Order: sequence, then structure tokens, then C-alpha cells
Amino acid sequence: MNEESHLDEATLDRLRSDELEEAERERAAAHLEGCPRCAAALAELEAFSGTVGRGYAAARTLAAGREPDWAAQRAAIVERTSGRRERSRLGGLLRWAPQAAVVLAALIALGVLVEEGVRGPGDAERIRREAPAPAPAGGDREEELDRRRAAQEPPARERPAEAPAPLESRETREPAVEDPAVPEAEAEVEQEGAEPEGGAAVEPEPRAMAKAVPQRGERRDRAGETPLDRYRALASRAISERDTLAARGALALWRDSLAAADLPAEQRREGQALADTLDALLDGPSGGPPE
Amino acid sequence: MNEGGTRTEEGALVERMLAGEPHLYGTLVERYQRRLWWSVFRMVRDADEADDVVQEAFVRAWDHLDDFDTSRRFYTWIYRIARNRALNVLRRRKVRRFLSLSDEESAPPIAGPGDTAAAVEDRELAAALRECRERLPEAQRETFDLRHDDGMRYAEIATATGVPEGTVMSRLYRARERMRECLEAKGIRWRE
Repeated sequence: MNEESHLDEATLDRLRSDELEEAERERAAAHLEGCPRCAAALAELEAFSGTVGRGYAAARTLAAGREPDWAAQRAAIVERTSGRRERSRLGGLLRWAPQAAVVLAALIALGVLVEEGVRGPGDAERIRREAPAPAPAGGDREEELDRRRAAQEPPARERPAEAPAPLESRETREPAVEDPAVPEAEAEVEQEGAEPEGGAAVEPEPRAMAKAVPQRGERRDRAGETPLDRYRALASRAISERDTLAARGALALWRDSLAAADLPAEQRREGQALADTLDALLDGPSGGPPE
Repeated sequence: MNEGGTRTEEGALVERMLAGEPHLYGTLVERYQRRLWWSVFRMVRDADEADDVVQEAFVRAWDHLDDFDTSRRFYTWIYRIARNRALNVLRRRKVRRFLSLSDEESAPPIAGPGDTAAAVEDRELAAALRECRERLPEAQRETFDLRHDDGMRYAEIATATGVPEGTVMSRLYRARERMRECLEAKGIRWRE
């Protein structure tokens, strides 16, 4: 056997720990049978590793008094992580803020379309005109009033004030989530305004609230607001306030209202798909591996 | 072994956590907290700082659990998170030392009263190992520790330290050569 064919230390080491592919392992084993030098090298490596292992174990024993209280450490970690998953997902939502804004806009638009389905095309046209458009300059406003008079329509109803705050502007409130594996000093920048926000979030009670979903034929309350309006507004507000739990609750109720409303099937499907998209956004984007 | 193949048992556990069983995280914490603490302690040589780093690493891993590749080992992943934090601790310490605000590391005593011969031998071995390790370049020391103390596989070490497997092999080879020479010079014997 010539010099070049001897097994190198990495091969011997990986043979010890069963890390070689089958073919490589078989070749190495066959070589060892006929090569005392490599067999001795393997034995030396075993002995060296054993001695070093004893040294590490002894160091552990000597430093045992410096170990933390494992149960207390575990409790601290569990305490610090409990409740953070929702917040973390919210962080994910904010990463998707621009897309979320688009979807929210679509949701609001759908709300208008849904109302169109409920109330008929004429009403929908009126709702579009009544939407809080940018203040028209002088003559435009007069033209608008003229059109309304001509159509003998009632005065514009104020649109609900709870249109969602633009999420892009809120994105700056949450530091970007960095790759946890990047070994840079920047990793020190803590992303966590970690503590839960002081009691602002009120978790909805979906079951109790679901009872409030009107059945067909009683879709509007006295203020003329449908459950779809109400829960859409709730969802928008919760998302703008970064309250994931409330957003989920409101979306669930919005789904219920959508199912209960007397709508064409296609509009209902579109609404449910939109709610699915928002739910997925609340879950945050699915990331790739950290390395 | 699985470092980049099919989903591991831990991967399945993580998927259950993400699907609504967050209490399972305690299982992973319990499984790895000691090992991780010792790995970090080896680096930072300060029990309290190691505790802080371990807690931060587990919290951070939790926050990023969505990013965990379920075909990989959880320990390799969280080690890498903890390692980054430990390196930051060491950087800050270097700054403190530079500013003369701190802090000489203290070595454990070599022997105590009433030690048995075996205990003395263990202390000597531990002290020799510590001194020899400290003479290694940082990258070699970490690689040596991960192999001989943590028992990581070559592929896992490559993932944990962010280098190719070939680099792991060469670092280990050089580290072992230096350690053999150093330990023998200190009277540690392992050959027949």
C-alpha cells in the first residue's frame, strides 16, 4: 500500500462517528483491515478524543457551581416567549405592510361592492359619490351638489371615520426584523419593543360577538351600519393599531357576516378569499432558512 | 444524520408549535439549555453572561421560529444565534478592556484540599486543556470545541460556523496538531 492511499484524519474521524457515505465507509473499512498504520492512527485518534473528552467533563465538574438554575432559566425563557408569537407575527405583518395596505384598500373597496350587492346598484353609485373624496375645489363642489339635486338624492352620509391608517407610515415604529444568524454587531440592535403594549389591545370574544351578527333581513342597525361595515372597520382599526388578536377576531366576525349576508356567491367567495389573505398576512411571511 | 435533508423529529415539533402548540417550546429549551449554556460559557467564560446569551438566543429563536428549516437540527440553528450574541459579548468586553474598565479572567484552582488523586488528575487535565485551547486561534478553538465537546458532525459544524466543510476539516486538523503538541508538553498522556 503506497503512502497516498492512507486514510486522512478527517476520514478516520468521520468513520468513528459514522458520518461517511456507505461506499466511502466500505472503502475505509477495507483499507483499515490491511493497513496497520491507519489502524494505529485511528486508535490514537480514539484515545486522544477520549482524553480530551475527559478534560471537558472535568472542566464541567469543576465549574458546576457556576451553572445557572436550569429550571429558573427555563421558566424565564418560557415567560419571555409566552405571548410573543402573536407579536412576532405582527412584526411579519409589518414587513408586508405595503402589500397589506393594498389588500386593505381592496377590502374596503370590497365593502363597497358588498354593499352594492346588498342594496342594489343605484345605492352603490350613491355610496361611491358619498365617499370622502378630496375636497373638491370651488366649482367642482357646486357641480356635485347640482348632480345630487338632479338625482333627488338625500345629503351625503358621512363615511365612517375608521378607515385604516396607512400601514406604511406605521412600519417605522417597528424595527426591521433582521436575520438572526447574521454575526454582526448590528445583531445587538434589539428588535423588541419587546414588552406587550400597555393593555391597549382588548381581545375580542368571538363567540359572544358572533351572536351579534344579524341574520338575513336585519342587516342594518339604526345608524345604517351593516355588520360587514362594522367588522371591516374593527379589523381595519385593529390592524392599524397592530393588535393581531383583535384583528383576527374582527376578521372572523367579518367572515360570519359575509356568510350571513344576502350576497351573490361570487362576491361572497371574493370576500372570503380576501379574509384568507389578511389572515395569512397576520401570520407573517414564511421565511427561508436562516443560514 | 440530517443536516439539510428530510424533516427531522425536531422539525415536526417546531411545525406543531407554529400550528398552535407553543407550550412545546419548553421541550426544546429543556433539551438544549445545558448544552447551549456550556457552549456559550466556553466562549465568554462568565456564567451570568452565558445565562443572558442563552435566554436571548432562545427568545430570539422563538421570535424567528417561522424561519427555522425543519430539515435541520434545532441545536445547530440556535447555536448559531447564540454564537452571534456571544461574539457580541466578547466584542463589548474587548472594548471594556481597552478602556480599562474590566476584567481579568480567573482560572479555576488547580487543586483543592482533600482532593483524591483522580480529582487532582482531572483538575490538571482540565487546566491543561483550558490553557492549550486558549492558545488556539479563535476559529480553530471553536471548531475543536464543537467537535470534541459538543460532538457535532462535520456538516453541522460547517452550518453552525458558516464555513464550508472543507474548512472545518482543515481547522480541525490544525487544531488537533497544536493540541497534541501542547498537551504532551504539559505531561498529558493518551498514547499507549
